[in-house]
Amino acid sequence: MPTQKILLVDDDADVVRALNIRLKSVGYDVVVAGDAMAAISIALNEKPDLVVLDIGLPGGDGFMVMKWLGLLYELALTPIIVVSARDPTIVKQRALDAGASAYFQKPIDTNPFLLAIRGALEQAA
Amino acid sequence: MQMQPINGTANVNLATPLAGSEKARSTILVVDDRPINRDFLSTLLKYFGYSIIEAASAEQASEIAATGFVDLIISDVCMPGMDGFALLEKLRSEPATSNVPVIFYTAAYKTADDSVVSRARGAFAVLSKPSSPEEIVSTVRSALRTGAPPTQPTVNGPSAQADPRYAALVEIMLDLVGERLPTRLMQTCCDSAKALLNASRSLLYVLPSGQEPHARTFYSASSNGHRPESVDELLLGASLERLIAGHKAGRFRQVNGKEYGIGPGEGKTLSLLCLPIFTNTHDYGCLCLLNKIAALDFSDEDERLGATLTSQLAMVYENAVFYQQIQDSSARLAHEMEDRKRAEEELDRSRKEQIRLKDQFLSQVSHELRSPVMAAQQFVEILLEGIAGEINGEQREYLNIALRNINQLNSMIGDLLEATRIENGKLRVDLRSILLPEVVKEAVESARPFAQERQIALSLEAPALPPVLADRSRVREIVTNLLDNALKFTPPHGAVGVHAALDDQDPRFVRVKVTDTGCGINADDLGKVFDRHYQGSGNDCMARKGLGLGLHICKELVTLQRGQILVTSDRNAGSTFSFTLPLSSRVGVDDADAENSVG
Repeated sequence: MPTQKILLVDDDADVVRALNIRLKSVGYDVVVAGDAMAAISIALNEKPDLVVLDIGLPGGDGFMVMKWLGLLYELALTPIIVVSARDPTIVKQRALDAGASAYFQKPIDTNPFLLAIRGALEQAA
Repeated sequence: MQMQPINGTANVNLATPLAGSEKARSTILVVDDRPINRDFLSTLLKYFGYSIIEAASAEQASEIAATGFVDLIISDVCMPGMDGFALLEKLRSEPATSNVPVIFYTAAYKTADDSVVSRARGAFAVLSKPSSPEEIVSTVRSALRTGAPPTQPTVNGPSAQADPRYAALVEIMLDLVGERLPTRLMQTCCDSAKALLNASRSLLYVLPSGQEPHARTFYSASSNGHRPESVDELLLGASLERLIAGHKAGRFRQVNGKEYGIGPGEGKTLSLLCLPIFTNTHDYGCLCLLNKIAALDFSDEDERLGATLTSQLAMVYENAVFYQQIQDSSARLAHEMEDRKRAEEELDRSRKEQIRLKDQFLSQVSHELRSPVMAAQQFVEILLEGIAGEINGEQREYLNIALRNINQLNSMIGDLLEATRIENGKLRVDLRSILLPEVVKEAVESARPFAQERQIALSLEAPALPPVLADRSRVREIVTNLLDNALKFTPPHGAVGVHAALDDQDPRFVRVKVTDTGCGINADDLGKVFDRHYQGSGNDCMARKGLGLGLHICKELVTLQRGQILVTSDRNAGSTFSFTLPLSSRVGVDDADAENSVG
């Protein structure tokens, strides 16, 4: 099985770096984006197997990114896991309704987060 | 120009000179429970030069009469307490008052004349209400002259020979009583007086009042519609104010062939009747009648009629002014209250807006804090897991401490948000049928590492129980919070126990207890531990961390889930926190679809 590729979208460089290290350590390929527009163009170029998406982003929020990805044929079925610092009572349901596979509140519980990624990838395969 | 009083004296009144047998100044006791009746008689009799004492009850009257200074008593019959007849009996039975003449002035005469007459035996006379001032005065006079009571009282009903104008006067008075507006009252009286007394013109002059010290007001009724411009036009050299202050009526006639006009085109004033308007407490003004039509001058009877009218007017005017003051002040009060209400609403709005902005800010800040916390947490975890290389035991220990503090910081952020939600009534629970022992066990297991680190024995006793209706994650939050507190406040080698069972008191509930062997809570503080921002007072047995919101949130969560939270404690012997949750009436667990979400 070829290495699976994850697109990591977050405007907090330290969070991106930490998750990058973590995801690589368990064997994934990681590409990163720091804003909404970069996320869409990198997704188009790299065709990731899964997207880890922040909601609060410069240049348009995570919901906009999800909408775009859903409209692009090659990316429409890519699983998305939302990681957000925002109030889950407001954002969580909206993210799941928009098609996210799972929602994690920052700071994440790391093991369930990794399990959710693995589960989503298996389901998409 | 000079006005000359008739008979050369300003002290003109309608009383003929006092008879020789009368004392120069007799004292009359007026007894009536209604102030307005006392006022009427007092005003009338003072006007005739008598000295008046008032009594509001028969009891008071008999005390006053016992002093021996009273020459005559005019009493009402129907009064609360002792009535007029009883008063009469009492007066006759005592030597000091046995000879004082008594006149009954009563409305009772109309209805029960026989009994009144027989019971009034010993009274000088019975006057019925209303009687003309003339009748009253003449009865008073003859009573004072005669002194000793006759065996049979003279009974005077409304006199048949009375001036027919008295009937019109009664009509006018009734009109006046119905008038609430002081200005209209004066105008009505002015107009009526002109017609009643057959004057070519009437003017009513109102003294400046306390509220409007310079406002002199005239009301006039005349054939040509002319209104005087100033008081001087009317006064013609005599001091109207002095006349009013003296409470004396004045009649004037042109003297020495001089003419005194009232205004341009007015012609000559040949006769003038001035009637002061006053009560016991206030002087209000003067009613002036000019130029008797079809006669040279106003008569005694005219003056009597006018005086009766003005004495009545004074009382009604006083009431009307008072009524208007009340109206004005209540309108002002209503206005003020409306203003205040508006200001309060405005304040309330801006306060709500401030609270909203504060909450918004708090919520934003808390969420912004979560990203850096996550970065710190992730890097510490990466180090702990050896992803960045091997670490030694000491490094691992320090990193664990760092991680624990990061988690603590994170839970404080959570508490802050939760407390904001409680304040806004936005805290929600999702009630489902759950198995409590499972949830409690999870919470205990996740607290075990901390207990081991602090060398505290952590025990769990949770036998199988029927399902409860609760929010799984919220219950775990509550147990975790209580456990966290218990572990924090229990010194090393102590013990913390968690116990879940059916409630002893109410088997429809399950009770979860968290017991520690910590420093306990002061009895004074026990009632306050669930308050917002409570931090143990003098609870220095352990360093504290946190915002003091944990127990407050627990209480709200338990209440939302229809349970109760309690605390018992012995200082230095530990505390027990316990909470209840209602049993789910449903059979079956995690039947999520069937359960309603309760907010």
